[in-house]
Amino acid sequence: MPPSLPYTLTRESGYWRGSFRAMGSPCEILIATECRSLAEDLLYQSHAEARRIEQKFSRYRPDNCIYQINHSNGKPVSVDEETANLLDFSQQCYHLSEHKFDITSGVLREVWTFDGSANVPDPAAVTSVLSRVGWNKVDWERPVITLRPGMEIDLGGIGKEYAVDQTARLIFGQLKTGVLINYGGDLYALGPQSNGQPWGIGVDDPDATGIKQIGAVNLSRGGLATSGDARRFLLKNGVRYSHILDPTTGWPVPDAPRAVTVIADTCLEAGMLSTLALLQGKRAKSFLEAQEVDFWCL
Amino acid sequence: MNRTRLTLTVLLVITLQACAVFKVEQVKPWQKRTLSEPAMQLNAVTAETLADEHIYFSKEASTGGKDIGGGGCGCN
Amino acid sequence: MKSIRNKLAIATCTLLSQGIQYASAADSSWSSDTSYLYYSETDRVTVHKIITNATAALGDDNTLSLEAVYDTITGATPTGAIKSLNTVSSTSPSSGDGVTREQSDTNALALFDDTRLGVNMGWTHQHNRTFRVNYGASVSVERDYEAYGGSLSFDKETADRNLSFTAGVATSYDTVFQRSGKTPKPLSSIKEAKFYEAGNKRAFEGILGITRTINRRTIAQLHYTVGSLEGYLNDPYKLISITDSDGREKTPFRYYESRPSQRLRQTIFGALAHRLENSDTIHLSYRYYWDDWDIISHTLDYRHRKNIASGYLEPHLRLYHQTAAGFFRHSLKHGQPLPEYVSADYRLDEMSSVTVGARYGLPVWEGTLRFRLEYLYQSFTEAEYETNEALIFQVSYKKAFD
Repeated sequence: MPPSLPYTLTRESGYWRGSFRAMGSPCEILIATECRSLAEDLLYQSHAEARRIEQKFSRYRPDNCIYQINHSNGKPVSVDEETANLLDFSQQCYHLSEHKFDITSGVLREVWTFDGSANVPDPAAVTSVLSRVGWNKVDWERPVITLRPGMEIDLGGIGKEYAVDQTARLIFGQLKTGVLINYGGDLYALGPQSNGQPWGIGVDDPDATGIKQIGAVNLSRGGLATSGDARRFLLKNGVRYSHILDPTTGWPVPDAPRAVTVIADTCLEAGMLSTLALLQGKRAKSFLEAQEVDFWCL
Repeated sequence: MNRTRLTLTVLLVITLQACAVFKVEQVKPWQKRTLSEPAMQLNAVTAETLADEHIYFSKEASTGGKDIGGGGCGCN
Repeated sequence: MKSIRNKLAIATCTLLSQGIQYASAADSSWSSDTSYLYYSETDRVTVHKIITNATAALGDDNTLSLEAVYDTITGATPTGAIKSLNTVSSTSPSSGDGVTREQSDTNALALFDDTRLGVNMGWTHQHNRTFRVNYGASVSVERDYEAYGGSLSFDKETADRNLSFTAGVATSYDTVFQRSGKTPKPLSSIKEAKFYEAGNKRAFEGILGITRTINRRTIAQLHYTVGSLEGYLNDPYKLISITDSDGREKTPFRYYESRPSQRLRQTIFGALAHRLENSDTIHLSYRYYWDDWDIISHTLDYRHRKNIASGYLEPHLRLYHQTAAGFFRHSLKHGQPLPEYVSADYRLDEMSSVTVGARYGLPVWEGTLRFRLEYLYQSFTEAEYETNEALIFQVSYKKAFD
């Protein structure tokens, strides 16, 4: 009786498609090879890495360092190398974004629920929660992090992108032809298809994810990420509140694009640039133009 | 004699079942994350294994198998 | 607007060029495991045991381990003599041996108390990527027993590390005596026993083993071990009764047991660890044991670890059966000549035993706290006491340090 596997491998023309679920999203790895066992190897590694990162950094699990940090109640917590590297990276992004990218902003969800309703919170409630937001309130002295009671960190904003890049790094060099890693819409291409053609990637219409595509991207090498979710918003008195919250104000960024797709050298860079673009609101486009990257801004 | 034959039959069945479930594969270094976890170690010496060895050494006529050496005691 | 792309690229490069750290006990430079065990038999012995182990990695190539066991044993244990209703006087085998015998029908039981301190030391040296040598030394001291041992073993892996071979030898030198420092002459009557100096026991053991990765989630192992014991192999407290034709004990007739002075024991041991698709872990092992005292035993052990919340629950089942030693007798008949070798020690009788229990582990203060509760039931074919029951409770805490 063969055990049921946590992933599936199917043959497509010119490549193998491995699929599994991780980090709350459908994940795929396309492997340009004829060799099934090689494809299976790479799929196994990719699945294991995605699950490892999910388990280690998910804020929904009670058994990892994020849980420890978020339940430390003001006490210092010592973290391992990898977590420290991610915290360092998050801190750099916090400064680069002029405090708009902030891994402590998750507690704003206590007052904001973007379910399409008119549930806009009371400004006093937002101000009250905002007192527990701000990386500058965190004492980060590698490898020890101390959060004030009531504060939380969430690496969800970079987790999938990080998993994509780490998977690419893990399987780099094991294959002469290309691989495309796609974890819930965050991608990295590690070389083109067997016939030398780049991977064709459809960019979804944010109003009809998975149904209608509004463009196609060719990718042979590099990262691609999309930020934004048009289905998550609030509507009150004719004002549309996007789910992009500015952690410096506690309020949604006005006039944020519905979705931003960016191509960059790595998936992390693409993801960070698209997130930061959303946070710029109506200046998203000029921000992306200044970065000299390929992008789609809707 | 019957018991021996029964034991051998049971062992044979278990082995055949095991071969069916545990398909032998070449395991690559990057596939050993599961095998390297503490829960998967066959020779882990823990306070529990040490205590058990001592308990069963003093209560049964057989001993050993897993390892050799270690302290003797006057309990048997 | 200003470009942050270059700074972001540098930050990303720094993050992605770091090594990935996997949590594993081997990463830590040292770890400790400390444990308290309570073992209690119904109406028999109670054991309190403290075990502490420290393991330290010195550089990449050397690992040192030190382990100390301290236990106290109190209670009553079957002597091998049969329960007798007409005892009139003390049957203490010798004065000053520290063992007192009760006066009732339970004089088939001997009260005793003992403490033991054992120390094991280990040193593992990794000669190269696939070859390592393990050195071990052990000392154990009780009021009526001393043991000194040493071991040497080699582990060799294939280049792909999917196959590993083990070969090793061990030896020990033990001294056995009653509290008085003496040992009784085998087959002498307890009333007029002659006493000799302490007995000595020498043991040599060897192991050959093979461990193989079966697939990404399965690893298996097969061991052959052989051990030779020679010297004084008796238990200096064990007795055997002489009965009349009605099966009643001849009161004055109790003899010290007599076992052969040699024993050759062999085992074949197989073990398997497997990770199920639902991420449970199972450990299954089987041991076949045989020796030249005609004892053959089968041991089956199964542990099933289930992750629950941040910890795990691990039910455990152990099944054991052994045949009796060729010289095991419940008692001897009056008037018959004494055999050369005879023992009424219940542990040499035909026996079946079952252990059921479970272990619960949970992370506490960056370490792992484990609780274990097990129940052991033994049943004997001929021995004077037909069954034995024990409860085992153990609490342990393991912590790794950087």
